[in-house]
Amino acid sequence: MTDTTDPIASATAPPLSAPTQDKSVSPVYAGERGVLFRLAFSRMMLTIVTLGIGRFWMVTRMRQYYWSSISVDGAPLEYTGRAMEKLIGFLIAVVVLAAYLLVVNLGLFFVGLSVFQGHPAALQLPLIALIPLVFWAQYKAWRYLLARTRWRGIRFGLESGAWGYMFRTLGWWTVTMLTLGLLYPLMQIKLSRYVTNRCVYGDLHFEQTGRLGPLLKSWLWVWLPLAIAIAIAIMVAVGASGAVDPDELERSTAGSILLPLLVIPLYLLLGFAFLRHSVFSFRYLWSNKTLDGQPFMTVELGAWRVIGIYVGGMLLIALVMLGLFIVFAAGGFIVAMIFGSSPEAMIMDAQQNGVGVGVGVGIILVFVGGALLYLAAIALLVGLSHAFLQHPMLKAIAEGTVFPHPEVAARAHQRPHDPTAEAGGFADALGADVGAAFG
Amino acid sequence: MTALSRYELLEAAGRYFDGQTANAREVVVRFGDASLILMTMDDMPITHWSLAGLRDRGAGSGTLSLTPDDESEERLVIDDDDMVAAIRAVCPALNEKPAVPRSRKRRVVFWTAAAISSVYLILFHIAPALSDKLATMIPPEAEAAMGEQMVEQFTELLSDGEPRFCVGDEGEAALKKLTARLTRAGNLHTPLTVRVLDNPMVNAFALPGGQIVVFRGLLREVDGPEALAGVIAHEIGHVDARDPTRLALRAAGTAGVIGLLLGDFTGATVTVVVAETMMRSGYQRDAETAADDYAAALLSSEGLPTSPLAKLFDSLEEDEGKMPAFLEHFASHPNSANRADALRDKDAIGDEPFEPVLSDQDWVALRNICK
Repeated sequence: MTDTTDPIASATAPPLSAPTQDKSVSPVYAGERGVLFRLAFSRMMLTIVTLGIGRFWMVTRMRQYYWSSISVDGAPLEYTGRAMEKLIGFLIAVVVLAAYLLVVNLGLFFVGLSVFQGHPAALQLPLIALIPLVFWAQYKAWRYLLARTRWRGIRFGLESGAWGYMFRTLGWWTVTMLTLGLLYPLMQIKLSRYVTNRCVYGDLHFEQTGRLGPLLKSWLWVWLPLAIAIAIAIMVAVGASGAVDPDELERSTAGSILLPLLVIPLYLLLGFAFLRHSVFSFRYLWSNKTLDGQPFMTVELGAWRVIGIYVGGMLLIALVMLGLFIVFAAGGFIVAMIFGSSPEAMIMDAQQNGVGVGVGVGIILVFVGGALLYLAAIALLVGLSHAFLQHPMLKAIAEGTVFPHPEVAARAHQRPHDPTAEAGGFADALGADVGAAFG
Repeated sequence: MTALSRYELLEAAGRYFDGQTANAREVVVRFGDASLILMTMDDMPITHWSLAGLRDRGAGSGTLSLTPDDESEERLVIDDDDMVAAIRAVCPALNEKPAVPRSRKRRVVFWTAAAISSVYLILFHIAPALSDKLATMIPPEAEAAMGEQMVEQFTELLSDGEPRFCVGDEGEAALKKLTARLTRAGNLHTPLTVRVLDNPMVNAFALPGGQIVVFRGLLREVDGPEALAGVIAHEIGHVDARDPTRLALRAAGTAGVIGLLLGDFTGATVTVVVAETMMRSGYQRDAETAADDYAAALLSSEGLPTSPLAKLFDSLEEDEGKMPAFLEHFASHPNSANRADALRDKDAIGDEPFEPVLSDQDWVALRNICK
């Protein structure tokens, strides 16, 4: 920063005029924990009070804040989505999905009833019918998100392809399941390619590069221990069922005592390996995107850092919630002592003397008060998770990110406004909103 | 413009983006007459932005990301502290949100009406009508199989441990006799299976495929065979109307629709459960009233009084106690007092003599079927 006390001097040596050619830049994330908590808590209360309708305003405001807190090469990101268009998109989704659900639910129930001869499994069929739509809706929601994101006044965008994405996701999930999970990373890179190659900044195209090899290698750390553990479990189960000999039976009882000792570390190991793979694939896929043919960004982010953020954040949130719970419980106890009546006593009293109107109202008041406290606790939880999970996570990602060729972006020309009338409404109605972490 | 004159000499650097390309242009910014002037580094003016239209699209603190008006795609980024403070001081409307266009407001109204009316039509007209139609189209074997599955599930849920049906020989014969009298007309679409469950609750229910389950507790509660005949006539009403199947289909057809309306927000699950309970109870209450009417008509056609069933409802009401009026929306059954009154109005026998539905001996056997 140059001396800003003299405006003329700062004009002649402006801090922003440094040429950016051939100079890599890091994004600056300037979000503030307190602001985030206040925004999230108040907007969540509004959401609850309006039976959920306020969530469109909440998501919009949170995204605006997160986006504009991230600046790259001196210019902030800008979120131009509006709450009202999200509401319209959601209403459109309700009209379409209600009709779809009715037809599919009844059709599948009827077919299931005849085919499964009344087996309860028939009742689960309608849920399956929604899964393909979830993928379609996710792609649409990404499209809306990118179409409402600007940097340097130029729009990002995602070209159409929601149906293709839906069919490919279904196909790759089938492949993943047929190979007992081994080819999960192939699905990751294929889908990432499909989406990334349709992403644009102005008229410049993104592209996903990278190979399967490194992802598969990382995935084997999850897959191999899991496969070995399952194989051993099957062998033990087969062995135990075949054990008639008392000696063998004894050994298998010893095994059943040892089993938890083996299973708990195995769960921890698998959990860590999966998280490590998630962090690795995030890093690998983002570090291997190009914009207009040039490497777009590199991300450094360690699995232990992510674990630290999550474990630390959750412990802190749990402590705050527990503390408040104790305060309220103690408060409730004192109130009960003063008035000499607890909800249980009131109900007992009501049972003995018949439900008088006054007592009924009292019970209802206790119930409503409890419900309000519960809802306030939810808002608090949401506020805290923005302040102590999302915020440090975003900060860590921003710190580890470098854009090696920021000059490439300067070539971009504006692209036209993409109306995307459904505005992420289908994903919202299906409870599968993307970017939920940031709004 | 005294505020403005204070900043007359203020100049600061900024980066200007013309909205056509992402290329940054270094500019010098200063105040003009009620406007912000953007100039090249060698003092050639590029553009004037009216201060009244100026909006900040930044985070609201620190750096400003200015646009001359809501529609414009041009941006000007300024991070000079003095200039930022000056612009904040002279532009009170800086943080105003873009206005919502009238067409968008109209669209909100239109789609709100469309969403509410389509959900209303589906929940209260289309789903009921379709399920009623579909219920008659289910193959009888499938319906019977579904009924057996459901009896198993329900009775398991209601019993501690293995559910037990009572099978006293004489009691069963008496139950058959009673059922036969009520199904003499022989116009039911499915044969009935009436059983007594060894359970102290005062209850009875009908399930798809003509399955009727009476609880032991009900046998002890009723005054005589005519009241029991009334209860079974009521359940036959459900079977005749295919209520169990219809209601299962309605529940399946509307599953998730209310969930859609509330979407994805914390605490929604509770609201969804409450709303779905209210809706299902609404369907159920209508079905109960219809089954009461059916029972009254069936009893009268068999020359039996309806007052014993009415008396049973009276005694149930005493046990239940009065419910606050608003809670009735959650009850799956209509108010017992109203049901009793409606049944009494339909009594065709009154104090006249009638042919008892079971002999005293049979009735004793049936009451003791679980012993």
